[in-house]
Amino acid sequence: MRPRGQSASIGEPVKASADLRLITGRGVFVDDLHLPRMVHAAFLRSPHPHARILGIDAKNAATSPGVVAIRTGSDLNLRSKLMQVGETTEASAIDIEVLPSGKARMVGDPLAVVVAQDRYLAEDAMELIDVTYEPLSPVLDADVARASTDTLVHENLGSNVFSTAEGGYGDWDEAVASSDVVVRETFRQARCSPFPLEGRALVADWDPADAKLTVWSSSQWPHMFRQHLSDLLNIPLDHVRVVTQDVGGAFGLKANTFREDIAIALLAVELGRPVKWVEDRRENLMASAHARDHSIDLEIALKNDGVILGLRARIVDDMGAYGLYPWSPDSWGKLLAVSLPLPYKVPNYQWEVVTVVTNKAPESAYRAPGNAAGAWARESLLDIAARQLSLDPIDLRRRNLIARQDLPFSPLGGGAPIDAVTTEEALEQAAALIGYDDFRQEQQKALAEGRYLGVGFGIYIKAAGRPKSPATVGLSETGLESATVRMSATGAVQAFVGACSGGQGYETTFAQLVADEMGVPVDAVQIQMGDTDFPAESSGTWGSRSTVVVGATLVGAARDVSTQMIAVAAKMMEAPQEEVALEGGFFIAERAPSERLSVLDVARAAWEDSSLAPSTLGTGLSSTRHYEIPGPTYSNGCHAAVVEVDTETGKVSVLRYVAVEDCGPLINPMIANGQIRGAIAQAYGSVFLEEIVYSEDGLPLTTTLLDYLIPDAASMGDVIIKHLETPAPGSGRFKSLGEGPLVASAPAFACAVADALSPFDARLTRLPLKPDRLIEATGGD
Amino acid sequence: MKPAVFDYHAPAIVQEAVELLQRYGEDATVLAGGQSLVPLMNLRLSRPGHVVDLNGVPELDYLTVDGEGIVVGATTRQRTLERSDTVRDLCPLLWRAMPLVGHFQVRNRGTVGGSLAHADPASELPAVALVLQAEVGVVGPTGRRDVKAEDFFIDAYTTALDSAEIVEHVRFPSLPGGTGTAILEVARREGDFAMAGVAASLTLDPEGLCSSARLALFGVGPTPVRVIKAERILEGRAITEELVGEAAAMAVQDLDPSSDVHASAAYRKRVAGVLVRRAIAEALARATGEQT
Repeated sequence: MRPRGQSASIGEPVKASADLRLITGRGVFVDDLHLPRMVHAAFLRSPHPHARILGIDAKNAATSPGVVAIRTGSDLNLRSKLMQVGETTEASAIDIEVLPSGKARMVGDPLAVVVAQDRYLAEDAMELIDVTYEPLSPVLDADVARASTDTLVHENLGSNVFSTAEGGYGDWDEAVASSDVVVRETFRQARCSPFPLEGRALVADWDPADAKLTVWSSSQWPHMFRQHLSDLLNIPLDHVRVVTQDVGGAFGLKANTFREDIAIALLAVELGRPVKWVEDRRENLMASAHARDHSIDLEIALKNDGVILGLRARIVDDMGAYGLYPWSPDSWGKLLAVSLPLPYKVPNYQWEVVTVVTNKAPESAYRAPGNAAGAWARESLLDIAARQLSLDPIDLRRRNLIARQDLPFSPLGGGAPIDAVTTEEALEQAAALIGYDDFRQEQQKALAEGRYLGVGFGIYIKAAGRPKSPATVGLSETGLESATVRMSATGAVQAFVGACSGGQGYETTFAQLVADEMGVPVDAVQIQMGDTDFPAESSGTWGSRSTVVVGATLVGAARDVSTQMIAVAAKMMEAPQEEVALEGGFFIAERAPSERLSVLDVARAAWEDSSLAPSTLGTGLSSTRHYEIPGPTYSNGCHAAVVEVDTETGKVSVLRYVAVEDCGPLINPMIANGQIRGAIAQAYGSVFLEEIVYSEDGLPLTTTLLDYLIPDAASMGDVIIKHLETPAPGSGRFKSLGEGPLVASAPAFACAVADALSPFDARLTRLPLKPDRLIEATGGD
Repeated sequence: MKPAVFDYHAPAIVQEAVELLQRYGEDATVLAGGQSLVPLMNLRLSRPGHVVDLNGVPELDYLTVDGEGIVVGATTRQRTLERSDTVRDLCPLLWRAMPLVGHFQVRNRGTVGGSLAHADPASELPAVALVLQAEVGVVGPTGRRDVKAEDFFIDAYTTALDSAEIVEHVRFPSLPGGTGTAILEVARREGDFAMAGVAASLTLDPEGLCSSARLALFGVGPTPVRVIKAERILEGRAITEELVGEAAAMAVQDLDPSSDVHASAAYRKRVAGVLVRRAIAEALARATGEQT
């Protein structure tokens, strides 16, 4: 044991405690849950992108072997409140039924649910349901949908434009008038999938005796999910429990409450039996949700020396056929718009976001929503501008970065001041590590041999852990977090947190924080999470918030328990509290250093002898704290890639890759580097591989892993990672890492390819950079 | 993604398997490594009433050398070939093709006979069989027969196998001295199906002239294709860069590949030409001993 407060594990690559369990197949995901009397559900989904539903005949299916129940929208819709989304000043709401009854608006729309003894039998019966459709012409392209007046996805909206939002600051026209050059390009981000390895999944169980609904889910926000279940099903909040076990990735997809979730919960209540639904990969790719279907028309006004005077963004966001409860469907386009200028000083900015409804799957948040797509467009445009102005792209960035002398920097678009970021250092170190000084020579030499090399950079500043404010209570609430730490009679420390891990390693990093604060070994701390019945409240794991928010909260609660233990120890030793210290795992009183008490001695005594109570209000060694840090933290980073493009085949090889990150003091470098590598892999996927494709008739063509390609281990090369560790101001110190690396990585890859193909004046404005597109961009076929 | 109902049969000998196939006809399908069949069944795109599993038939799993090359039993795993020094020494093209077949996890299950019988247009083994002029040993209700590789692949996923026939073995002849081989492909990721690929062998006579050239393209049409017109350009001549270019252009001249989510038809055709050029160069370097 160590003296209290001394960081013995923070900063160390403590082995992730879940690793052994997970890699030996002892993880417990939703599909691993088997309850007595459990039945299995499958959803019948529309094969049409747009069709009126004239009738659903389930007579034959009902007598299929093993069938327990078959329900359609007409059975379920009145038993839940409408999942209304998106009512704002700019838009009217979209009503979402549990199971659409009037018409199907996308391939994959769930029209009926079959519950049977097992999933096989459910799928057998599903094939016997006879649906009569009247096919309608679909709208699949956002521009076509905008203009269409005769084909409406939601008649009540009166058009296919869900909302048009505008914003910005300064004066764009003025910026253009004062500028030497305006550079414009339209960037088309591919529709892609958040793609957690474990898809959506839940088991719902209704206990009629307690009138309590328990839902085991792969959610990334169990408390929010509990709230939604309570609201939509009209069950009191204290009669809903949500449990997450191991969660096989989430990436934003699981920060939604889906129609299928409500249907399964309704069936569990009705049937009085546990109902399991685990979506398969086809459902996941076709019907869960997609992301980033953005078209970004970007203009930048600059002086000849590269100083940015203004930026204008016109964004069209294809939100698909519905929103996802409880988000407003235009959230992600707006987030893109607002995040675009960071990390640069952009004195004038104007943006417009048009959110359009189409007959495709709805749009979800996906790791760094808005930020990641915007950064690719922005950094690509900066490189185009640098080429046009004959400036070094790094110099252009140096000239405009929010730099040390600008701190604290008040974002012109509003928001908390940016502080404790190291954008220049990150850029300079990334440039040095990638070998930028010698690179242009290396590039020229290669070119002489007919080889095409390029370098690209991506830079980000990302906020995380906004405080609670009355204006944002509810959805955009990232400040709601409370945690409880208690010392048990066995000497084990239990820390209850509301955030839950979808692979982030919180079991380890949170344990390190508590252990170091209390002066106990890391393995003496048990992190308890993923159960809404635990003494912790949270808005979930999203927006890079957990380490910032939970970390600060846990440390405060752990400190309280330490202080309580000192009080108990002092009473036991009959010494004044201020003279008792925890040293080397023992409580020692100044006056009699030989009379030592172990942590276990004190813990047990506190639980067994009420006279030792540290406070008049209670006898336990326990504290609950709330997140109380006043502002968000800002992380930053810079990634750089060197690639080689085979201009005959369009194959891209990544020759070198560097990530310089400043997420504040590292809690666990091994876990931090895992986050960074994972983000780089996802960025690689979005730049080179991933694209959800619909046919002209509206049929999804990428519904298996044969068609929708995700990055795999063989796709990834070596990555050099360097950490700057600038603490956040205030008591929290720790900054976020969950999303930022993804924001920097996509532009690094894409800009490197564009740089390699600059001898061809290749326009690379559409992701992914597939080999055929690269050949086309070089003037090949 | 759960298969429709089927009956599962696990014969212990080849004869029993053939009898089952004969009994159930078109309603039966053969399960070998399962790397293609099982996903198709899970998507209910394939709905056999009877699955005849060959994994319990030990007589189909072997690798032997005979006078003119190697003979591979139908259920021999692809990974076995990849790890075999015999295959490397006697059939280097076959050995070189193996790492391109999926990932090692796939090759641990995937079988040689299954790959040929499935006849995916983008798969490597059929093209290798064409270049090596392999013979497919087939067994059925009326007995055994050998089918030349060039007669085996009829169309996409369609072979010369009768519904009650199974592949029993494949004979891959060794190539003469002075031969170099190469197999190249372009795939979206390592281990993915090829968007275009080519298998090549070149044999040089003592004067250094090309005495035999064989080129087979895959991933660019419904079946792998030998491009004999391109081979003829090379045969009997000293191979120069110019000649290689000519052969490559000829090889893709009549191609009519299709587009899909991974690549356009134009890209496939273009890159097939690039690969032919590179594969000839690589095979030539091996034939002359410049490259191993």
